[in-house]
Amino acid sequence: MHLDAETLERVLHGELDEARDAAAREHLSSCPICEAALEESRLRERRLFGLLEALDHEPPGLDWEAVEAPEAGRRGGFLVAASIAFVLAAGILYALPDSALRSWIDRTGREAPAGEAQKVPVGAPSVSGLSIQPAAPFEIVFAGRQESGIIRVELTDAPEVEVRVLGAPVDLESGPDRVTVANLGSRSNYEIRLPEAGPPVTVRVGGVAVFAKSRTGVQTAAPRTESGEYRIDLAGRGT
Amino acid sequence: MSNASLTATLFESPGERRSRPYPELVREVHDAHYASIFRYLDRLSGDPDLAADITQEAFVRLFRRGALPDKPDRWLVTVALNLFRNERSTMGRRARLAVRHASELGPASGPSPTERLESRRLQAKIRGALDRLSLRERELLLLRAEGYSYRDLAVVLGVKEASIGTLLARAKRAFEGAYEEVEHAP
Repeated sequence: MHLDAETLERVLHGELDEARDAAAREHLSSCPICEAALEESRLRERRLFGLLEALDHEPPGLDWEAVEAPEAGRRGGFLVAASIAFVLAAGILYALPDSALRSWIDRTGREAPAGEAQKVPVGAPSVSGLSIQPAAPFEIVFAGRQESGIIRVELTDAPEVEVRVLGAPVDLESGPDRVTVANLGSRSNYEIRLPEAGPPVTVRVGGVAVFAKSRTGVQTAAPRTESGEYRIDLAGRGT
Repeated sequence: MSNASLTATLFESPGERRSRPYPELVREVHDAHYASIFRYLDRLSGDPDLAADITQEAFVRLFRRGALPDKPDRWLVTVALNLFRNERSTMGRRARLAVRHASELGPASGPSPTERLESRRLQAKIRGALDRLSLRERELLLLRAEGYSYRDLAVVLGVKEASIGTLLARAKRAFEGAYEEVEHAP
């Protein structure tokens, strides 16, 4: 019995675990056919990857001004407080430091340099959030309506779902297919960013679907702003 | 654990990296991965201007993100691929960003006219072979050529890690077959 294509490729690329690699190499040492196949595969790959180099151009270099410009006009010496609410299922969560919240920062005119998040002034507005790369249909579930508050939903090219709480901390809990927002009694606002090319995502408030993004488009009664955001009124007006 | 202590724990780990200025971290990521991501997109698209635009945009988004993902190269290439696929699907051109156009720079080397002619022929053959592959095969093959691990390939392309080797072997055979065809085409 010879090594299959998957195993040969994995030997070639060092992608077998120790035990399987040892077993494969033992076989290779006694099987000239597989040994020759591996060597041929190695040479063919080297040739192929070498050919690709003929297509290459010099990288033009980044325009750093353009990269850093979005925040350049907003550096005012203020500090946006940032805190993480109770974030569960930490293995699949990514807590967002404050300086990631550019759009919010743009609106408030404040900034928090990375690494200073622990300097949270008492009484300042806080921001919490999480980021998840969904692999399957995903839900963001708000416990219910609020007396006031807005959810802003934006479609992006990034691969992750991001949920941010703008205001008083709210507990966020994440599972493999959903984020639950314990927002009862809160007056916070929320920002949700969804990968446009990712799996379907539904936003529910109190069990009612208020926004659904599928691969073919968006379904919601919420108005869309000129900048392309959807604004869901958590007090229930217009949604 | 109080909110404050949890905050500090999350923000301080994994340590030194988070305590340094974010622009500095982004520049380190740039130094380590920019050339590879540009090269990947250039090979994938056959359009160095588009590759430059998308690479630029991916770094803009990384900067806006404000915190490095665990695997910045994988994150960047995933964002870049999404941008590229959007570009392909809309068949439109993204507004040009303020970058120097790669096409103005010419190929990496500075060969003689005869060598340039040969080089163009070779490029046309390789491009022709790549274009005969499915987009998925091209993405996979070219990512592997940049040294991405099987795990990264599976995550970026949304395929099962257990079958990456088989898919790679298939993609390489497909390229070789296509290259043969192009080479012997009249």
